[in-house]
Amino acid sequence: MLARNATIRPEIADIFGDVFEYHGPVTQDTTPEDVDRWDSLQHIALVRALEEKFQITLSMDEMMELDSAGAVENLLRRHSV
Amino acid sequence: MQDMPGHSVTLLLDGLIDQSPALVRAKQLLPALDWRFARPEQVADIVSRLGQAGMQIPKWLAQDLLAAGHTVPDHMFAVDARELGFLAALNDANISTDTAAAIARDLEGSGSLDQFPPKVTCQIIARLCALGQTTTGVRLALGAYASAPEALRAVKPHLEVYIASLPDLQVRVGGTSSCQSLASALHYTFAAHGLRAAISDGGYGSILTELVQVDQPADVLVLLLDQNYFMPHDWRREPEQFAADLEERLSYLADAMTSFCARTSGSLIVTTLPTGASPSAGYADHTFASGAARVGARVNQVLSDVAKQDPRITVLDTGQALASLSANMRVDPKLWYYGRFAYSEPATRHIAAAVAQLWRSRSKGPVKVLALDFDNTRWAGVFGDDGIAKLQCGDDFPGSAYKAFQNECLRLKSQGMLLVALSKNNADALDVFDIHPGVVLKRDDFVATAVNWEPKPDNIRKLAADLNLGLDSFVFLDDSPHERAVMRRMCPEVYVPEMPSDPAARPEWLRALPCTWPTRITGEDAKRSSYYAAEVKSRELRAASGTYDDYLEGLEQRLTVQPLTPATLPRVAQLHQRTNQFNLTNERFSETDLTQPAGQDGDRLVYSGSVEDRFGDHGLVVATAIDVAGDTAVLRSFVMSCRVISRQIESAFLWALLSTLQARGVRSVTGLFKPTEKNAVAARLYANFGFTRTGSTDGFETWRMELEDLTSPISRAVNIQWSGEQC
Repeated sequence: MLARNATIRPEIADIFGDVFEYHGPVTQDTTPEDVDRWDSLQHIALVRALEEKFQITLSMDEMMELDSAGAVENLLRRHSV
Repeated sequence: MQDMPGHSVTLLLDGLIDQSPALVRAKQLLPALDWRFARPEQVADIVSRLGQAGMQIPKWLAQDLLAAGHTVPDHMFAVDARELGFLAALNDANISTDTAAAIARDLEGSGSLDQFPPKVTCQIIARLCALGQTTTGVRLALGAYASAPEALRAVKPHLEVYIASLPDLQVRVGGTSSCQSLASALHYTFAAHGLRAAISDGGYGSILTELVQVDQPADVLVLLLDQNYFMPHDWRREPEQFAADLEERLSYLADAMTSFCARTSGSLIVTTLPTGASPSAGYADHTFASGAARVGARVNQVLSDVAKQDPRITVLDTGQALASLSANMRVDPKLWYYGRFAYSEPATRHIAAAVAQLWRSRSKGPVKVLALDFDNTRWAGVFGDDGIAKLQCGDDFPGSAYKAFQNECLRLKSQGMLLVALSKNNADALDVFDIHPGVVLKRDDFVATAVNWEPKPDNIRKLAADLNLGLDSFVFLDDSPHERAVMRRMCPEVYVPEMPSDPAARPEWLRALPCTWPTRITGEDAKRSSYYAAEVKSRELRAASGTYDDYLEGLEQRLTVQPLTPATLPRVAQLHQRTNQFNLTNERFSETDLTQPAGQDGDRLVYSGSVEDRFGDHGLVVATAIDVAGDTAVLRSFVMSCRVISRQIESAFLWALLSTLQARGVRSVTGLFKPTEKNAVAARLYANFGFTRTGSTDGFETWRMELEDLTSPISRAVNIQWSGEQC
């Protein structure tokens, strides 16, 4: 299991700014509860933003697993981007 | 700029640059580099090494370097690509404001940024914004949205302010699948055509609801169709049952579309089903009842049949809109299972761009005039240097590509486009069209010609004046980048697309040029060219004869007036939509407005007039809608084509109207006039005719005439006759 820490890759905070217009602090534990516009529709925009920025293709399972900023970071690490 | 790389990365780059001539030739390793990590001196180093090896910078490397913000001397480029030259100039820290503005103007005038690689587009836009050309930057980013959505990021601070400044358009979106993504994409694509779309979205599966129930008025309803909705939902049912189900579903849809047109005044844009990536009946896909290809063809057939019944319905070819995307890019299956989105994000953006482009063509009409260069555009070779015999055009290579391009021009002419010749040559260059056996365009295919040594912008202005058309009606096709740049600079209203330098690419390119796409073709369109040719001819006579009145009488003009019929309806509506100059009230009446039943304003009477003279048939050129209540009548609209301005047609037509109103028992007629930027030519009509100004209401000047004062026709130049019943 990867160690959790509070800080997060700056690109993820940028994407949260672009996609959710969320400019508060983004940490490993930031979830849809914390981000007003992170609803089921904007979730698609998040997936598309990750796919376009990092040139990766997410599967359906990966799409479901993104339930926090930490999960986004884990996913990117797994894709080596 | 990216964070400066560490020492080891710099060393690594130095190693690669050291081997650059070999690596560039093999296209190895270097294509993988992000040149934002390179220092300027390293870029200068690779350029000089290639130079020493006698090589130029290939297109891929030039794009990579320039998109990363580096400056590269543009004489080193292996290809002559306009965008690379522009970007080399824009990346230069010492660029002058004038140069930046000139580049901005050129890019806007050609409107072809979406042809560039996205990273080049983004860098061009970012630099334009940094150099203060923000409005152009915003417009270019919006125009490139379908292929390079990331370009919007560079203009984000200015984007919504710009869009908020645009005029409103009320748009509704519905579909057989989810359409929220389409709704968001339309926000940008309509803005690219200068409209702020206020969009409301009916949500998943809202197609029938939107058509038959929603009462909120909108300028346009956009319906997004997809294959899943029409395919079998239960494979246990017999194929015959499925075929019957499909027909039933389609007849609901067709009825709903018809009912939409009956109950609202808005337009309807429906997308077709594109060919899918995989069949549902194998090799029998086109023949078997539930084959995806067969279902798609049947659905599209029904859509076209309904659209033929009502001009407010336009069918958008989704396959065409998605042509630049491969089949696996058009869908994103996880989005379908997640939220019932039938198309991928890139596909949705392309559909949205096509919808907005279609709307623009619908509301403004396609461009009207194709202004054509001769040498190396019409044929291979230079008339003045080579002589007619050596010009290549015909069935043999390479003349075959030129002949194909001429045929494309003739195709556009047959659909209502006017052709004019615009060539720097001696006037005898026109002989080529009479003599050369392979040249399929003939001299009379041009409604007007300017073949001389004057600057082309001066010539095009003169042609525009002769044809009574605005410069924004013209597209200019020329193989010379210089002539194109001069035209964009001197006549920014003229659309000057970047014609491919390869003649073989041009016929297909012209077919794909959306500004030439008509949305509906009427019988008049095919004849338009001869009308204008007659106009130009009669202007020549005017120059030669005595007084203008003598000239008009000599023209033997015949005006045939008739009440509205189903046959004249599309053209009468088209005149209301298109006429800007001789348009008294600027009312853009649609076919529905013209045929509306008696209302609180009384009965609506619509008349039109067609004009012939000794030089030719001008067709249906003047129309009016009059509301009659008891013994009073109001002229709600009065539009006349610019083809017949200054020929006393308007007075003759007005006299015919007033005399028929008098015969119906009308005693007093009110004329409305709304001044606009373009209709000054119509301002004196009522005053000249003896109407009295009575005031203003709602932005309209009101003029009145008592019909007991009506005298015999004031003009002798027009012979009036009636066709059909007068009342």
